[in-house]
Amino acid sequence: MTVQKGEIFGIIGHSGAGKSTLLRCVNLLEKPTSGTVNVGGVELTGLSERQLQTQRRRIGMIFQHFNLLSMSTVRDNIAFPLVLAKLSKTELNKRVDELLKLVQLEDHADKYPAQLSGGQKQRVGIARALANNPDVLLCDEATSALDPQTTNSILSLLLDINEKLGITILLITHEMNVIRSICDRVAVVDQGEIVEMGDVLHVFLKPEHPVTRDFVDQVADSGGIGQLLRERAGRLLRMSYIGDLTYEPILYNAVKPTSVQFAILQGTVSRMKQTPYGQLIVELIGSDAEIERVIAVLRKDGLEVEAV
Amino acid sequence: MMSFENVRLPEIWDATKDTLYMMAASLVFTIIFGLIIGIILFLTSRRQLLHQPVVYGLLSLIVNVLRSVPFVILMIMIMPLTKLITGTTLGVEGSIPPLVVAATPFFARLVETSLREVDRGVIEAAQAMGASKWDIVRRVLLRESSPSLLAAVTITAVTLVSYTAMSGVIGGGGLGDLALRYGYQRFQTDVMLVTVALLIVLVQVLQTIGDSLVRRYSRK
Repeated sequence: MTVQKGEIFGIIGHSGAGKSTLLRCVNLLEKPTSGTVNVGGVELTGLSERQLQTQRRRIGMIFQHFNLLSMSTVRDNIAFPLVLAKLSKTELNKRVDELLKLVQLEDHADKYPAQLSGGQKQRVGIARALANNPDVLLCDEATSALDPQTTNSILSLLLDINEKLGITILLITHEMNVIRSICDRVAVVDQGEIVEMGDVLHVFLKPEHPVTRDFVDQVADSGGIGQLLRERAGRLLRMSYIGDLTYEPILYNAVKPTSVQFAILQGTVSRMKQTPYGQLIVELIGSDAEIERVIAVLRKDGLEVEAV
Repeated sequence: MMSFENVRLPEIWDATKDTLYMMAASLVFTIIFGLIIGIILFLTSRRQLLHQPVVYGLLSLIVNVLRSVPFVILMIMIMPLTKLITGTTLGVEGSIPPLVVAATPFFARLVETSLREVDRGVIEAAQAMGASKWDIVRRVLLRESSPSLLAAVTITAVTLVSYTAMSGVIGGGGLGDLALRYGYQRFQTDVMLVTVALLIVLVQVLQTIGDSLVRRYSRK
């Protein structure tokens, strides 16, 4: 598995699937029994403990349960990795101020973690992880302990960091929503194996492995549609479209010159990171020849069309 | 009606000072040795940073053995060692080594338990940030467990007060010695009552100070 520089790569799987182990192998919190780990051209698996400690400073990490020092203030928590890196007092304070500003916690600098909300704690975690200007940020279920609204604010902070600072983000989650909101690519893990991997859009629209389908259904909310579809008499088609096509009256234009009628049985129009996409399940009613012609037009316009 | 005719204040005051001195001095050494042993116990235990089952087992055995010997017997058993260290087995100086030997394993276990309560995730986060083992001990373990360690010091100080009283048996000086010599051997109940009252006050004061420190430094 290779993660490209500057991308946001998501690993999704059910609990116990091995995604956490996979993530923790990246900074060798977990020692892989075989194989190698290479981060930014440095093979971590072959390093001495001292060298590994230095390399780990290039890899930030945030956690589901934040793992902040409960006896230290927000400021001291963020300063912790800088103290480890033996920064001078003035440099350290300057950097901590920058980080506090980045995560918008200037007003909470002297509070202790117990006085903060979950979202604020994760912001401290993010600031701490970014302190040494890492190349990579590992996120271990970073939003799983947060409510949906806070999750979104943390996700947009992560996206922001990725865009502004160019930090590669590798995250694991069991929520497809997280993948859809910020990831470029995704790997699906099941029982310790990567069962599917690719661009988020592609995996989303054409999930192949059953586990992947499960996750896609999580956000598609297609409960009960199977029964409904079996009762229909016409030709059932699933059509997927991405980007600007989402806003075009393609279906209407395709059926207009024919006598084919259509009924939309299910539809989603949403956004994946910055890209709009849609998926419709449509019933076409008419002669076979005409329906084939409609399908041909739809495909020519750039839609993915498949029979259900 | 009880009279306190045998109570001589200067003598009581001297004995109190001796007790305080014995307790304070042995507490300092106990904290130093106990912290070291407690940290080693914690680090070498199963699935911890050093993970040395043999070292842990051996150290744990020594701690258990020392803890099972009653203090009165321990005092007598280690008299040669005491003589080697302080040159005497009597008085305040002669009491300090046995007090330290008895209290250190007790305190070390309390330290081990306190460190065990530190959230594993926090240790892991420190590792992920490139902290060395020494960094983790100093900046994470000891810091995170400080309220719990303060409580452990308080308990140990109180235990030491009762040990100092016992060291009166071998001529250790202090309030215990006074109670034993006057109260037990000369049937001067009044002296015994006064010394016991003073010991109670001492324990109360120690516990109150300890509790308030713990409260002050707790952040949870």
